[in-house]
Amino acid sequence: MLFPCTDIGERPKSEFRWGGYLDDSAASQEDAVCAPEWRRHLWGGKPGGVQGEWWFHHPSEQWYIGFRDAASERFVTLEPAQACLARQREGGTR
Amino acid sequence: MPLQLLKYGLGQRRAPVLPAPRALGSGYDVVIIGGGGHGLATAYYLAKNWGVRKVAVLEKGWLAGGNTARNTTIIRANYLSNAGVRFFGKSVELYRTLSSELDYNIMFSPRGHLTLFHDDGGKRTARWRAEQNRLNGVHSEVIDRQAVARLCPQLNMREDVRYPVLGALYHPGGATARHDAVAWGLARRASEMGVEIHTQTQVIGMDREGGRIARLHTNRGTLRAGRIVQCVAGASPALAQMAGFDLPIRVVPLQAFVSEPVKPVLDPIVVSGNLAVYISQSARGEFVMGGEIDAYPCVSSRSSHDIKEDMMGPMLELFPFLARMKLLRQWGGIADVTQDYSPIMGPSPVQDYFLSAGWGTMGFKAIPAGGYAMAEMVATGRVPDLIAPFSLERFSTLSLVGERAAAAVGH
Repeated sequence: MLFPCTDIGERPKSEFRWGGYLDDSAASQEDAVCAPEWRRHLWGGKPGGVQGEWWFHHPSEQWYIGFRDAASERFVTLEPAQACLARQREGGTR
Repeated sequence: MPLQLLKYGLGQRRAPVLPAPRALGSGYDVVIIGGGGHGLATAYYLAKNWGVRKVAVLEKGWLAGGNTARNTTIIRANYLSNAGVRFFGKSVELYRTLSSELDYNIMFSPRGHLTLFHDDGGKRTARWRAEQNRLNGVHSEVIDRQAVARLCPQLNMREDVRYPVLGALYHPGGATARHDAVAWGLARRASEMGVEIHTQTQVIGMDREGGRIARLHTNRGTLRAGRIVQCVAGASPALAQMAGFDLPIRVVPLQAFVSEPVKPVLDPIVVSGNLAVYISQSARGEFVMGGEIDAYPCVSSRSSHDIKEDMMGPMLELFPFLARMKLLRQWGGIADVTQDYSPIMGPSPVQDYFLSAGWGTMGFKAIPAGGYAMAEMVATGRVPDLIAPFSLERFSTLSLVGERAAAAVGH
């Protein structure tokens, strides 16, 4: 199975490691360790649908952010994390 | 061939497992969502132990077509946490007599269970597990490589391999059973006692009123339920969301394989923790094999080539004779994995709505004890001691039950 990256093209999935879900602004709230948001961040699952996720690409040692359908495994996008986060900070769409 | 067998085969029409489907009623004392092993066992024990018979089991597909039919049929109690050992010990005990209890042959087959170790870390864990098991009344012992070779002469005992076999945790109570038969047997006895089992019946919506679910909407009509039990494995987070709460469960495929059938050669169930593979031979002669869960969440029962590759390398190192066997099938189940690898059984944030979830890689072996305890809880409203540590609340109170002897997961 190949993962379609915007910058390095299609790469085998064995080159990637899943790094958790993307969401969760709660993860930055250090004083809220026992808050429900934190629990969701640490242990939460997703019922399905398209999810944002972190992916580590081993050969290039770069983090990627992908939006992927949990059932079909098809990526909507898979791009370098910095580019994705920068665009989100600017308020752009995914 | 004995004449009687021939006559039986040609003459009798065997009674179907379940009575013909009828219309969905408008209300039940208990509605169980999910017609797999856990749902059926809960229904069975509700009817048998507690006389609760106005029960409906709703199954969106066919009877036991999910993880109940997709596991590798292993039954064992050699877990590591106190709560886990006690719970699974009870389950093995119930399994032993289930065939006669149900009057249905579940082909329970005591085999003995070997968890091989290949290094000092593995040996330490084996000793730890043996002590924990003994303290909780489950028979396990650490055996050396000579004893392993005697119990399983097919194993590659060479010392010039990457992971030579140093010894094993031996659990004589380890067994297998025919997983479909477990479900059919439970379904048949439950329906004889009045439980209604509705297949092709999917819950598509819930009306929440005053902190409880007032009505369940299905593709076959709407019904009311005194109490609701959710036993839906991979669909657990989605169904919980429908009921209005989150579950700390990730859904990850767990894949398994069978070879072509051959004559019986492998008696014990063999697991390697270091190599993350396990194997047993079924009554049909097929080698049933598995490896680790997939490396990332996915809500699909697909199978994939990389898992096969990861599993086959170590498997051939343990059993070189398998190199000439062909794989017959490979499949996936959608495992609902919690972060401490223990199940979730107990009340939920919704009143009169009970959870049996998070079975991950250990659901099949838990079916009788899970159903037994869930039935007691649903009937009495009290949480039995056996399952009290597995509450959903433990994630809020940070009293997790770290189960480091769960199969198919790295620890």
